[in-house]
Amino acid sequence: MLEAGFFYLFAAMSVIGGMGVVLARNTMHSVMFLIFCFFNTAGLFFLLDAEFLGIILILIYVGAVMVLFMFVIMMLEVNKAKLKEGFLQYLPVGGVIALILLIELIAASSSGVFNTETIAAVGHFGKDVNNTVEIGKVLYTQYLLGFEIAAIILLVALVGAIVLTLRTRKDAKYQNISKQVNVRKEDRLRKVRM
Amino acid sequence: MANVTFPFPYPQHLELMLPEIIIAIMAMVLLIWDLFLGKDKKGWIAYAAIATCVATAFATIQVTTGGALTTFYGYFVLDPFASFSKLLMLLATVFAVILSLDYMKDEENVGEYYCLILFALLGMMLMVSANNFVTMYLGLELMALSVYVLVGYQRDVLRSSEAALKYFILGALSSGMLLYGITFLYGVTASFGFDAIGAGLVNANNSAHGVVMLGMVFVLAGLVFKVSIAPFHMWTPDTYEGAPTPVTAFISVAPKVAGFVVFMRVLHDALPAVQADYTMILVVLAALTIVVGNVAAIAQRNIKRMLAYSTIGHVGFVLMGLIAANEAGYAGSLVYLTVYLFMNMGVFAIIVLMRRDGIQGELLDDFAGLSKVRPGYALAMGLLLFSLAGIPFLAGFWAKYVVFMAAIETGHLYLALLAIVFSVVGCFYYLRVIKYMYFDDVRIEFNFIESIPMKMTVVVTALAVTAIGLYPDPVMAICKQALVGLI
Amino acid sequence: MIGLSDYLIVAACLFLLGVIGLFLNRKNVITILMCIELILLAVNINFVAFSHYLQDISGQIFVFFVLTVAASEVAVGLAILVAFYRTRRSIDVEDINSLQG
Repeated sequence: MLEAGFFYLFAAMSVIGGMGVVLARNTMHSVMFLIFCFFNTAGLFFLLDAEFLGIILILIYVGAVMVLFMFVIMMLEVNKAKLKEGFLQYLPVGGVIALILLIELIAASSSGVFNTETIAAVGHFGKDVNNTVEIGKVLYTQYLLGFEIAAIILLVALVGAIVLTLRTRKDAKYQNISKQVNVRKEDRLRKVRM
Repeated sequence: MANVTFPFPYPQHLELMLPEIIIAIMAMVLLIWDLFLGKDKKGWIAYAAIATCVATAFATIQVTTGGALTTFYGYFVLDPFASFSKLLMLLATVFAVILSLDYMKDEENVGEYYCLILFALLGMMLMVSANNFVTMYLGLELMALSVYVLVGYQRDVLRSSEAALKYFILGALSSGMLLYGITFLYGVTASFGFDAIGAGLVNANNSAHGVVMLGMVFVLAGLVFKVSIAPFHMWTPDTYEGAPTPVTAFISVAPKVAGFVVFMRVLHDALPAVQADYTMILVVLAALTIVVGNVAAIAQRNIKRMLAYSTIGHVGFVLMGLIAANEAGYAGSLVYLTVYLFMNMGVFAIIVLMRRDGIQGELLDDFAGLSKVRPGYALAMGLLLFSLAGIPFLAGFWAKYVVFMAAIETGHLYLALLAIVFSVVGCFYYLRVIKYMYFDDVRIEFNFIESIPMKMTVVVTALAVTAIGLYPDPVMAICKQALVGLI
Repeated sequence: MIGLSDYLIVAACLFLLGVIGLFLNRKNVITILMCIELILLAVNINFVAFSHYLQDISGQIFVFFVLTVAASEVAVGLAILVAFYRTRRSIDVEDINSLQG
């Protein structure tokens, strides 16, 4: 009973958060709604015995990714968005399509395959099952290849982001590594006869 | 819950991954080496990248055996099918690097550019070796992230960053749809492996049909985007136009090969249970793609945009091989992709050769009178365009011939007829360029880049197109053999 | 009792909100990036719910990878956005129009 209560709370709040992201006029408010949404989704993850992912969601998403969003918004001086007529103009068509899609998705989500007895009988794990350990056991063994590729993806994101945005300012002083490495003895050393 | 006993066995047959390991290590080595190179010596990185690709090609041939072998606990598969597509992508990468030699030399951060090309290549090589959605998704994203950055590499040029932005937004959306589809396939079968999903779907009871269809549609939508099939082709013209031309050449070939290989694996291994349904969807999409690509290309004045729509048209033809879904069809698609690689790379090489300071050499008008100034280039361009148009006894003709025959044999006569009609329509815009080159007067002063590797590229591609056109049997035989592992 | 379907419906709602926001958005590109995050969040809820009810940990592993990739995607996306802003001086959706099409 308590679990059901929490489920409805988290579910409703995350959907409200999602609506806020789409509807808020101020971009910063959208970010706040998204953070709110992430927190509640993390709650849903806890209810599903996925504590590690719930905490990761809060630490990485709220702690890093959303901060990056805020940083960019403040850096780019995004003004309060005017709600253009375009939104209302496409709303009827878009709304109808979305409604049809919603009905289909809900129909699929609640279809019979997901209501079998085995699925309904699934309970929670006891105290002795540690979600983090379970994930670690599989992640570093069977899914090792994926783990390695993920590392390279992070490297590419790092390199890509730097390449696209880093600019060396003309008036600031920087290290020139290639120059430093290629330096010869003759460039620095002068023999002086005493 | 997973039962893992420790110590866990060390992955067997790691040598199967040798090509990927070489690429990954060399990309990182080049990234560091770049720091120690002076501004005028950055070209070395490009030659090192080419050498890496050649070494990888040898390694790929070396590790390939006649059958399918897996490593990394079954999450990586190496079969002739994967090896053949890897060789195609390596060739495309070498061409793209050669095209970049001169084009990119004045950009900042040249070293990282070549590293990102290698990382994109790595992603694609992992994609084609994926036999499960985990490796496939990660390879796909590695490729996609590198390519987003490559498209936006000329960060001071507005259209380059705009192209990257559009490509990024639509690409991220398509990844989201792909993932959403994967969740439902996972939900029904509790597995990510293509074969296990295929078996699970065959055994799934009827109440799962709606869910499976939903998952299939979303997975198809995600995959279809990556190979720019209509109605998910919107990003293609803008991205092609805005990206630096060597990058356009790269993304017009290599990710298409990788995308189609993954597409074939997913359709053949994971979704055989719903073949009737997906065939129906793909027939509609193929027809739409062929019409959109060939009709919209006529209206374009910019040759990169024109080639973008031409790519869409060709992708529609390749899709016909997948619709046929038999040995002849899949082999036909591979033949088409092989031939398309040479044709497109040659055309883009000539476009890059025509780039001058200030003027991009991208408008159709710029080609006016080319035959009077450089008859050699005009001849090569003419051959490549005739081949793209599918004029008999050049490579493009045979590519079309095999997929059309495969489609007709499997009962898709109307689709084949439509494709024939629109490939005739498509001839118009290819022949228009030839008309400009041979029958118009010189309008602007030509000032070509003089670069021996690029001239070699033009010669090699033109010769390849002619040779395959006159004697297509070896390529067709190799493509048939390459299907071991898929079928 | 809360079943698998309930979680899937929540995910479906978030997924649709993301898609709607992406297509009907007439504001700026940052909101579009946030809508993509919503879509990926919906995917993650689906994976975790399936993983729990199918008693199969691999779904959670996939979520782990999706989170990694999504974080990289945000980094690259925002970098592209900053590069675009530097030349265009705007990130309104309507101003992404120098390429016809």
